[in-house]
Amino acid sequence: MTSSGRVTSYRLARVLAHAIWIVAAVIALFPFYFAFSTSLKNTHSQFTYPPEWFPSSPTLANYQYVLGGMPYLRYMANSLVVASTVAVLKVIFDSMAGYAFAKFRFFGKKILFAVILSTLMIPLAVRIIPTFLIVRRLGIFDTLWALILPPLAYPMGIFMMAQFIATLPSELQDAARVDGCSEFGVFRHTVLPLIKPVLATLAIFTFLWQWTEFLLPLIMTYSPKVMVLTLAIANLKGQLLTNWGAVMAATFLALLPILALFVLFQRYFIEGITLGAIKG
Amino acid sequence: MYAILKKMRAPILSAFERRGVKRSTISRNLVAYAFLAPSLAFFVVFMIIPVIWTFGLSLQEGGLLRATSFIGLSNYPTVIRDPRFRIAMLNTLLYAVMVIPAVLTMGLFLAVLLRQVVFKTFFKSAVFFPHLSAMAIAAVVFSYMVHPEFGPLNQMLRLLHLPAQNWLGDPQLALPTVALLEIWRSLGFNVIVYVAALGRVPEEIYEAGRLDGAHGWSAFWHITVPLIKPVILFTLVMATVWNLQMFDSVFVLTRGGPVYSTATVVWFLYDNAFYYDKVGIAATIAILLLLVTLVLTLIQVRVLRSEVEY
Repeated sequence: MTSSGRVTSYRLARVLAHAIWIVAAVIALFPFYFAFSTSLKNTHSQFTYPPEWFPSSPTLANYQYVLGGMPYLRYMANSLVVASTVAVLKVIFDSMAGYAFAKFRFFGKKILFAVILSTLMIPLAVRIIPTFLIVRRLGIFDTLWALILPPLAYPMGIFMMAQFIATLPSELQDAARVDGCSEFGVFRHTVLPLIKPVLATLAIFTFLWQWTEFLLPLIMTYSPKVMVLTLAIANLKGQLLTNWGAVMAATFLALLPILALFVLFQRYFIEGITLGAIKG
Repeated sequence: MYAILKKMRAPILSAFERRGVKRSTISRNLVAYAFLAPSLAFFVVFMIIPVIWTFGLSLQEGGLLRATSFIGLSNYPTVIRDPRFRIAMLNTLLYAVMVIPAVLTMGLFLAVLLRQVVFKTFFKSAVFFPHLSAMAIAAVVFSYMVHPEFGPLNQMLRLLHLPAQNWLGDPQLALPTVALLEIWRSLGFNVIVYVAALGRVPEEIYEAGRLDGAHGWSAFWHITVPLIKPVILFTLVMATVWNLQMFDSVFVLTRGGPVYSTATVVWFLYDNAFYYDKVGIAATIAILLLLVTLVLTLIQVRVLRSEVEY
């Protein structure tokens, strides 16, 4: 092959790569665009044929309907409370457990680690019936606690934390002990400040997982006052069969908090996925 | 809580000291278990106990809030012989076969192409975006996309003078349509994993490969794939565990229909547990699902690991 031929074929490859990626991005984003544009349509123009790709007379009526006609903000608040409480508790508990695994020799460590590792493959669906029974016995059925406590059992975060804390030098902890720090003080002052990025990653991922959870709220709650967004929107689809504009408005609003989180902490999202895959 | 721990410390210490265990060893164990305690408590209550309990329930007959009676292993042949369970298992496996190879190969393909593309971060974020929405919510949007009359998918088919389809209403099409939703939602996740993995392959290896005549396709097949095999294994196992428990999209889109064509194992489990109140049957389905998941992922690990180690 001549060198100019190679340059041409390289250029062609680049053009092709861009074309494929543009198609992929359009396919990924188009449903969101269409949902958004439908949410701005009045009940008449939702059903025109052919459909309007841009709403001809955009209206916020659907948003008014969603925010005024149902306790939508309550659902959103419930989702936010559940996802952020789980995220905060998980970051605290998992970093503590990870620290124990990374920096201590203790009785039963190997067996415990193996048991925890083997449960990573066990989906919630397999445990859902006893979880339901336990939640009832604890008296937290149909409360937000029923959505907050069960996810704390999933041990992925313990591994993430243990791996990272193991890479920190142990001398720091020894020095803090010599200086008279309590054991919790050692953890707080020599470990936590150094693992902040990992804590952020775990927090964001836990938040995302809980924000998108469906099976747990479906089984554990039924009152509107503790309903979360995923469940509310799935129900809405059945109730408002013909008002797609309102359904899409509700959908689009549900995306906003997670979108904000993504824009603000994009680095941690990407890192978090990568962490699990490459280190795990 | 801290005060309670402190109070407990002295009697535990003296009890072990009498048996000749070193004081420093005892207190090291106490500290470690104090740090483990909160995680471990939830792990035991919501992981270990439920798994054992599920197995226990699979040996019983009865309902969620009714008395149950022990019947040994006889739920297992009942479930395995049930044609609805067989269809649900078959649907689940078919669904996994439609989704997993598609997202893995397309994900890797896009990740490799990304090297040549400008605005990498934008493109990466764009394909990852569907992953941010909950499956239940994505399914609601998707049900509008594939709506037989007003959905854009059929509009496009009409523009191309192709026959419009009843995507979710046609028993032949419903399962592939639900699979399409999952492919759309999880492709970006795999892209990001592969992009990160490719970024860790040192450029010198490709240069060395070029000297040996490895270009383009052969470089990809003989250098890239073997080096990122652990990551491929990871995504394969994750996708298997995840897709075998698919439920949210079925619940929102089809409720198992039409004519049971999208009923999955977890759908069948849910139906038995919370609709028909047959808790023993549902627990048996759960244990069978767990076994199938374990066997499939173990095979994947075996096959891919042995190839890596030559």
